Amino acid sequence: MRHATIKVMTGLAAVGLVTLGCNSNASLFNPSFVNFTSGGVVPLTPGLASQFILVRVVNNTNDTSIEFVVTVEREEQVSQGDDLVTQTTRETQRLITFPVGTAFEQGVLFECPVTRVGLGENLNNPTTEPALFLNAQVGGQAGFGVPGNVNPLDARVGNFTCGDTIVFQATEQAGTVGGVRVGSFVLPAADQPTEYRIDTFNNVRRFIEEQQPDE
Amino acid sequence: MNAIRRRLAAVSALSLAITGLAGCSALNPSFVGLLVPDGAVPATTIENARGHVVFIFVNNTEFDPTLVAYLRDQGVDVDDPNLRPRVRFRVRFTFVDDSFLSVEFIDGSEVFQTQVDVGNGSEFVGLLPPDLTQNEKNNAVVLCDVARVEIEQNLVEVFVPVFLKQVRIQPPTDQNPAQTIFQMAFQPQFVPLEVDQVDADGAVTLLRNFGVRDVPAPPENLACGSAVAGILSGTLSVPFISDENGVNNPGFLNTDIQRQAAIPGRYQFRLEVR
Repeated sequence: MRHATIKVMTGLAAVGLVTLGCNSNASLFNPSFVNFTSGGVVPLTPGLASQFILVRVVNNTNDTSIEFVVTVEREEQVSQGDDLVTQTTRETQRLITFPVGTAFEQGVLFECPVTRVGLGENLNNPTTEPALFLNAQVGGQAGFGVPGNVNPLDARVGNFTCGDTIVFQATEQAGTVGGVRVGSFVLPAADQPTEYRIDTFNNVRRFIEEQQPDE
Repeated sequence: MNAIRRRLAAVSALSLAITGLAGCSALNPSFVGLLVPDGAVPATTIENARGHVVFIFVNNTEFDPTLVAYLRDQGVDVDDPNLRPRVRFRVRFTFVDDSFLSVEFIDGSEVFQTQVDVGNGSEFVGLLPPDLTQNEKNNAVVLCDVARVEIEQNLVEVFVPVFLKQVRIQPPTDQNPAQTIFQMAFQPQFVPLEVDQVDADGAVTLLRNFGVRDVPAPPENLACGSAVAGILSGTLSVPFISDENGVNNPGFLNTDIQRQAAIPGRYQFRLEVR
C-alpha cells in the first residue's frame, strides 16, 4: 500500500511538473513566457479569418543594426477596354531592427491576397537587389545595402497562404556579403490552435472595419 | 519518507530534463519550418515568438471642402474616393527590458499644388516633396513584452498641400489707398500639429490644432497580444485671403496670429487598446 502510494504520488508529481512547465493555463508564469515555451496563449499567425499575412524580420547578429526591405506583390485584374488584364502591384516596407534587448525583431501585416513576398524592392533579383541595409539608423544614415540571397516565397506554388506568418532571419556568417546570411521560415496558420486568450489579429481587423464608413 | 523524497527528486530531474532537452515545443504546435526555394520544409526550426503587440494607424482625417474646390481649380486631381490628408508621426515602443524601437507611420493621399502666382506675372514652381514619394506604413508588429507605446515628442504632422501666402497691408498714403503686399509663400510641406495654449486656469488663450483633452495618453504595460489603434480624426483646413492680386488664395495676414496658429486645422487623436 505504501509503495503504491509512493508510486501514485511520484506519477502525479511528474505530470504536474511537466504540465506546469508546459501548460498555457499556468498563471504562475508570464503569458509571453508561456507562449514562448508552449504556445496557445496569443496567436503567432494572423489566421485566414483576419485576411492578413504577417511578415517578421529577425536580427540575430551580435552588433549590427539591419533595415530589412520587404516587398509583397499582388496580382489584380483590371479592365482595359473590353479585356481583363492581370496587373502586378508592389508594396514595400522597410523594417529596422537592432541587436539589443527586444528590438531585434519587427513585423508588419499585409492585406491578402498576396502573390509573392521577399526581400528587396525587385523580387526578381534576389542575388543582386539590396535587401538588407546594415548599420542603418532611424532617421539617420541609410546603411550599407547587401542582397538577401533568398528566393521570394510564392503563394501560387504553395509556399504560403493567407493567414500564415513568414519570417526572415539574419544571422552572422563569415564569407558572405556583409557577413550576414538570411534564412526564410513559414509558420502555417493551419497548424495553429484555433482559440486564444487574446485574438490579436482579428481585433486588428475589427479596428479597421469599425473605422471604415458604411457603403 | 526518504523514499518519497528520493523518488520526487528523481522525477523532478527527469521531468526537467525532458522539458529542457525536447523543449516544451515538443508539445507545441507552433513549429516554424525552414523554407527552401522549392518549398520543401526540413526539420530545421527557429524559436517561437513570445507573442506580439500590434499597432495600427487609422487615418480618419478629411479635407475641408473649400480646400478641395481650390485644389480642383488648380488642376490637381482630387477625385480619389479615398482622398485624405497625408499624416506622419513616429511611435516609440519601449519594452520591459528598456530597449526600444521607433517606427514611423505615414498615410494619406499624395496631392499637392505645384505652382502659384506671386504677382507681376511670375510663377513659383515648387519641388516635388520627397515625403510624398515615401511608402505608406500604417501598422507595426513588435514582440512582447511592451512597457509603453507613445508618440515620439508628441509630434504628429499633416501635409499642407497648397502654397500659403503671407501678405502685409501697406497703409494708405495721400496719393495711394491701402495696398496688399506679397511677402512670402510657404511651399507645400508637413506642418506639426500643436496643442492649444492655455493659461493657469485652463482657459484657451490661443487655439491651435489639438484641444488639451484630445492628445493621447500613452498606454503602459500592455498585455501580450494586444492590438493598439491610433486614430486621428479632424479636418485639414487653411485660411484664405484676398492676395496682392485681389484673388482669394490660401494665405494669411502677417499680423494675424490666430489664423496662423490654426493652420492646418483641428484634430483629435485617441488610442484604443484591445
